[in-house]
This record gives sequence, C-alpha cells and structure tokens, in this order.
Amino acid sequence: MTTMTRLTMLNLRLTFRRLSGALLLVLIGTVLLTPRVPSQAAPSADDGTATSTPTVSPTPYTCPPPAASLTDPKALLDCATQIIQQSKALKIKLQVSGAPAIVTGAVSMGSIPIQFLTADGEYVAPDAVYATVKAKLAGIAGQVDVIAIGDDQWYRNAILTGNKYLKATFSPGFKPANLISSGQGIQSALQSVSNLTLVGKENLFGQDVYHLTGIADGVKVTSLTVGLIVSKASVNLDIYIDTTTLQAVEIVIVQPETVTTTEPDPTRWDLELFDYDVLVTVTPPPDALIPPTLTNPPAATADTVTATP
Amino acid sequence: MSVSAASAPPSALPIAGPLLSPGRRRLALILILLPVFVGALDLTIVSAILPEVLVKLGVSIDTNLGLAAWAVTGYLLAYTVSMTLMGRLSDLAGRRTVYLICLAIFVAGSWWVASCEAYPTTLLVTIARQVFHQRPDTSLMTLLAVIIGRVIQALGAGAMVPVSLALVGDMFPPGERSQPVGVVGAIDTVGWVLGHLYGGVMVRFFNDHSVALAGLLAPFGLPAPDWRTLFWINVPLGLIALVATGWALRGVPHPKGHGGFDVLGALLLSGSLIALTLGFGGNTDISGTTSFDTTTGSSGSLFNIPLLIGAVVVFALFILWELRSRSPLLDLRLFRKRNVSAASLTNLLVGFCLMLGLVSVPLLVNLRAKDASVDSIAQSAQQAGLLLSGLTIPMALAAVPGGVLSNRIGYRATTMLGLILAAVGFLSAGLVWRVDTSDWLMMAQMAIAGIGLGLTISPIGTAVINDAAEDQRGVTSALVIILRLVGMTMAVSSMTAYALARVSVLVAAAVAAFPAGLTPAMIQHQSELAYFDAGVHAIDELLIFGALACLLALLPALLLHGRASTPGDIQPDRALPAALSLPADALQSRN
Repeated sequence: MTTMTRLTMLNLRLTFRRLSGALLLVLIGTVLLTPRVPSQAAPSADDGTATSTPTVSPTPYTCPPPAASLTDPKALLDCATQIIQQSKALKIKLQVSGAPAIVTGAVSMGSIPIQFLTADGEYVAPDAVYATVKAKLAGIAGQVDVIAIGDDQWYRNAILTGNKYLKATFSPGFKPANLISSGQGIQSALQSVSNLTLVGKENLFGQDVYHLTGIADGVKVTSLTVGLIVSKASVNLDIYIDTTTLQAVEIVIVQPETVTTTEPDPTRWDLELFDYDVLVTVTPPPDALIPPTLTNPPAATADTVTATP
Repeated sequence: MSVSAASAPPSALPIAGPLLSPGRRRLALILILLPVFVGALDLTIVSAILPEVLVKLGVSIDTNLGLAAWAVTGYLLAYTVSMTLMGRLSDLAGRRTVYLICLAIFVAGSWWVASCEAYPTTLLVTIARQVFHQRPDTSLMTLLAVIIGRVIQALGAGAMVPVSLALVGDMFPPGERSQPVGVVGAIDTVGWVLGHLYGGVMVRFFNDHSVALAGLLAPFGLPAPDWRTLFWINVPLGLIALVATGWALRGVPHPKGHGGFDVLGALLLSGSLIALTLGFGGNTDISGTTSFDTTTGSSGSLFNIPLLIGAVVVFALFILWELRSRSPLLDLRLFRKRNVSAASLTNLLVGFCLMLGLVSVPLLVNLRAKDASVDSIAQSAQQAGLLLSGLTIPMALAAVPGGVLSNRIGYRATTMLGLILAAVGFLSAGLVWRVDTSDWLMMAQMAIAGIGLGLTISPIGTAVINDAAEDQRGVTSALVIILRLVGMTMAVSSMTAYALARVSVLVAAAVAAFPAGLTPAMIQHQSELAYFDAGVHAIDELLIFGALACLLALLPALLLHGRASTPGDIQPDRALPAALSLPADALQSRN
C-alpha cells in the first residue's frame, strides 16, 4: 500500500465519518417532523427495510373546519397540522436547490463542507424511521440508508459498510422517541408562520390544492429543513394543502439572504409530505453486521414497528 | 450515406444542375466542416467531463453510476442509428435539407444539455409527477435531461459525416474529390481524438479560474463557466453554421435518389440496437436503485436476458424484412464477400476494444484522485484527457503505416499484427494497473494498444472497398464504420454492467470474510479497502477483456485476404476515406 493509497483511504474514511455525523442531523430532522402516536403491532417485513401498501381507510380527524373556514388560511393550516400530528405513518421527501445548504452546528466537520441534498424518509409512529439521505461532501455525493427503531440504529453505505447494514449507533444519544416527545417539530414550526395569506386554489402536479404563503424566522421553521436553517433571517414559505383531504402536501421555504454574487439563486427547500397513514413496516435488517459489543442486544431490537390505519 | 442498396448507381442518378464555382465550393466545405468537428468533439468529450457533471449535479456516485453511463451509451447509440439512416434520407429528401435539419437537431440537443437544470428538468419532473406518479430526485431528473440532450445531439451529429461526404460528392467533380473527402475525414478524426483532452483541459481551466471568469461574465448577466459552457458554445456556433451553411449550399446540385425509405427496416434495426444496448445494461441502476445491492438478497443475471432475446428476435425480423423489401436499408448480399464479412466482424471487436480503453483510463484516474474535492476532480479530468491522448493520437497516426503495411504484407497480416499489438497493450495494462501506477507506464501501454488498433484501420477499410462491387463500395465502407460504433456501444453498456456487478460481488465477498469481533470503525476501514480493491480489480478485468476481444478478433481477421499492391487497385476517391476508416459513398452521386 503506497502513501498515496493510504492518504486516499484516510481522506475518504474521514470524509464519510464526517458525513455520517452530518447525516444524523438529517435523520433527527426527519423524526422531528413527526408527532407521537401509539403504535400497533404487525408482521415483520423480511427485507430489513420499510415496505408499504395502500391506505385501507382514512383516520377520523377532527377537522376539516366548518365550510366557512375554508377560506381562512389559519384554519386550513391548523387542520393540516393536526392531520400530521395524528398520522400513524407518513412519508417525506426533502430536496434543496439554489445556493448550497451547508451543514453546520453540532457535528465537527473540520474544513470540509457537507452539503445536504435530499432525504427520503418513512416514519412509523411512535419511534421508527427508515430514511435514505444524500449529501455532498467535498463535492462528491453519497447515499446512506438509515433505520432507527427505539434505541437501536442501523445504517449502510457502499463504501462505509460494504453496502451491508451495520448495527451501530449512528450518533450517541439519538432516540427517536425522545425527539418526538420533545414538543418540537412541525407543529411549532407551522404555528410560527406569520402574514399567512390564502393565495387561492391551484393545481400542483395534477392535485388541487390551497396555496398559502407566509413568512417566518428561519430558526423557527428549522425543523422543516431537518435542522439545517440556522439563520434568524426571515424566510418565505409557500404551503400547499390538498383541497379534499386538507393534508399538507408540499411546503416550500426560500431563504432570500443566501443570495450572493457567486450564488445568484437563493436556497430553496422543497418538502413533500405524502402517503399519510399508508401501512409502513420498519424492521431490523436480518443480516446486519453486529459488532461484538452488540451481540446481546436488548429485547426491543427485534421489534417490528408497523403503522396501520 | 445510407447502408442501402437503394442508393442508385452513379450513372443512374440524375444531375440536378451545374457544379458550384471553386471558391463557393471551398467556402461551403469550410462551413460544413465546422459542425462535423464539433459533433466529433462531443463524441468523446463526455468521457472527460462526466465526473465533473456528476459532482456538479450531486448525483450519488455509489448508486447512480449506471445511469450516468447512459450519457456515453445514449450518444453512441443515437449516433450509430443516425449515421445508418440519415444518409439514405438525404438521398431522397435532399442533402441540404437533411444536413440543415440535422444541424438544427444538434444545436437543439446542445441547448437542451446546456440548460439541463432549468426547463428540461422542470419538464421531466412534471412528467414524472403527473404521468408516472413518482417523486424523483431533482438531480436524477437533471441527469436524465443530460442523457436525453446527448441523444438529441447525437441524432444530429451522427448525420454530419455521411451527409457531408455526400455533399462533397455533389459539389466536387470526380477528379477533385479526394482532397475534400480527406479533409472531412481528418476533421472528424481530429475531433473525436481530441474530444476528451479538450473537455478535460476546459474543465480544469474553468475550475482554476472560476472566480476571475465569474467576475468577467457577471456584468453580462452570465453565470460562471463550467461543464455546461462546453455545450453552450455549440449553440451560437451551430446557429451561425446553420445560417451560413444554408446560404452556402443554395444551388448545390442534388441528384435525387430513387426508391423509397425503408421505414420498417429502420424501425426494426433501431429497435434491435436499442434493445441490445438496454439488455447489456440491464441490471445496472438505470431505475435509480442501487446497483451494489447484492447484499440484500437481490438476484438476477448480469444482463437483462429478455431484452437481449428481444434484440435477437427483432434483428431476425429485420433480416427477414430486408430480404423481402424492394428498397432495403441493408443489402445483405454485401456479406457474401468474404472480406466484407471478415472486416465487419473485426471492426465490431475493434470498436469494443477501443471503448474499453477510453473508459478504463478515466475510471482509474478518478479512483486514484488524491481526494474527492472539486479541484481534484477537475485535475483528474485533465489528467484523463492527457492519458487518453496516449491511446487515441497514436491510433490515428498509426493508420498511415497501417496503409503502407497493408500494401506490402497484405490486409490479413497487417490487421493481425495490429490486433496482437493491441492485445499486448491491453493485457499488460490489465496485469499491472494499480492505484499508484505511474502515468508514463499507463500512457506507454495505452500507446501500444492505440498503435495496434490504428494499424487495423487502413487494411480493414481498404479490404472492404476493394472487395465490394463498384456501386456498393460506399455502402460497405459505411457498414464497417457503423459496426465499429455498434461495438463501442456494446462495450459501454455491457462492461458498465459487468464492472458494477463485479465491484458489488467483490465487496460483498470481502465483507462476508470479515473476521469476527471487528469494531464499527474497523468494519468501515475494511469496507473502504474492499471497495477500492474491487474498483481497481474491475478496471483491470475490463482491460483484460479488451485483450481477449483483440485476440477474438484474430479469428475473423484470419479470413481477410489480398493486398492493395498496385495503385490501380484503389481509386483515389475510395482510398482516402478507406484509410481514414470513413464511408466513401459520397462519391456515388456524380461519378
């Protein structure tokens, strides 16, 4: 092994370790988006990941608001928030465009910037998440699959783990249940939106939606961007709510302060919410690599978390 | 320039009008050469800039390399199809019309690639959301937009060389055609030989001077240049060429061809090629799912067998149709000539080998980059371009001694000598290339392979032309070139699938052999080592496949016979394109 090879290996190893830490923020943010709802047991899937089937029946929400309130943006948003809180399962897709969203904060990154790209998450109440996260580190994009059930975590990456799930703590202290019960998340984020305005009814990729706009302090809606907005500067929000189900289907956040001479387009976050209460099963991967310290895991490890309508 | 028996023999073609004046002919030639050069540049430019594209678009390298490979495969495939069909179309619809339409298509494709992150991505996302009810990553849709744009580009560019040669035939009298035909061939060759170097150097230049260039362009409302700029450049150049060529080609006499266009034959041939390419790339991650996913229990063959079977069936239907058609796209009687059959098969394998060389070098260069930064990727692009020049420039230059040798020792011996040399080059590279192999050694081995492949160009081309009937020489020489492109296309699709699968299998095997008791940090370290070892191993295997393909090509090469021993054996108009491995049926029209 030559010096160059060792350096290359070391560099990539450090790179992906840092990436792992950064990706935790994404995972945390994903979980923050979801409220706590009691779980129901269900048979486990055998592929070690999440599976889904179509919704059987809708959840009896307390909304919609009275017909007269359908023109009140606050009532619409409150209803959409309530639906999210009561959902037993939910899928999200978060993407960034425009000026890069650089991960900063709790994770030590040295001088190498970590740039968040996308996250595809499936949440199952009360404390399970399956997520696929993509981020760029030093220019190169990579993908990590993460499963978190209770106190246990698994992750895999082609280079980090030979694409085999590794049962290991993705980040010390990370507990989905605690994050869910912390009172933060989408509810507080949406309640912080001011200047709420109903633009009208629109068609969003074939779906009839109410289009709401508003503004908020960046840090107050940071949970919508998996904790990646750290600026207190004002951000613009576009919220789209399905006219039939009153479910929030897309939230767009634009950060005008990110425009620079080299980045003429502001950072734009597109958060899609879909498949409310669609049956999702998150199971521990059956053939995960298990380090010696984890050969006798707690009983909860084998649980499967399923959301059913 | 179609591979068609329907191209009427020269004597049967009506003369549409007088030849242009010498000055006008030279001007028209210069103007039609510009798109030929740009189109040829874009044939190989992508091998140098693809890593930059992946970095800039944020395409995940561990899961979407198979999809990214379609930026190469798609161009080759469309280029081949266009080259096959457009010549015949130009016989029927008029050279000027077809040339200008194809140039417009090329410009549109260049614009589409250059603006891939704007309208094309929006359109594709909308289609994915509304029609297919999918929620794709925007970056993947942008990559798909690049691939679609490359295909559009190639549909235009593929017609440039054959229609340009046909235009030369229309514009110049028989005694004056050798030089312009040679110039067209030379410009085309220079373009694809230098494409990767040009791409690599420009990516490095844009990266190194990004701040200064951004400052210069900002007052004009233009963004900092990057890989997209290389496609933006094509747009004004193409538009200028479109207007100027449209003017210059007015009044060019066009002998209208007889017969019809074999639409069904064209569809069957195109369908077969597409199915073949898709089949070879079958289980790579074209759907965006991971290609390394063997550890989760996914199974299946390396290639998409149903698609490959479909390709064979459709090709069989094509042959049946061609045998019955009154205006066949491909005259199957061509293959009754032993040299034509042997040269076609040999050139198919030569194209396969050439592409393996063009792919392996950038792969290794990028794998051994000192880190994963944008700067390193840009440096790697330039380095890959330089190293690839070690393959392509000797290859182009070796065509000349190849012609001399084929006169002295015959087509067979010259071709076999070249193939053996190429096999030595590929094999030595496959046996010794590691992460730390020196650039000089890599370049020397690629030069050997390049010289070997270059030696085969002239004997293959000349053997075909001398063996074909007078009125079928152009058709047969075009067929040989098209088969080389088919070989290149097959190499990209099949070997990408193979390499990704090999990396997956090797990594999975290494992970399965991890000793018990490793900590997570140790597992990560061992996985990284396994991944890099597997990558280098797969590249070495590709090169060894190249050597094996060269040796396999010895079999059809054994069937070549004869030599161009006397000047009278080859007409000057035929010899030059043959030496350049170009089709020569441009000369049909006004002999």
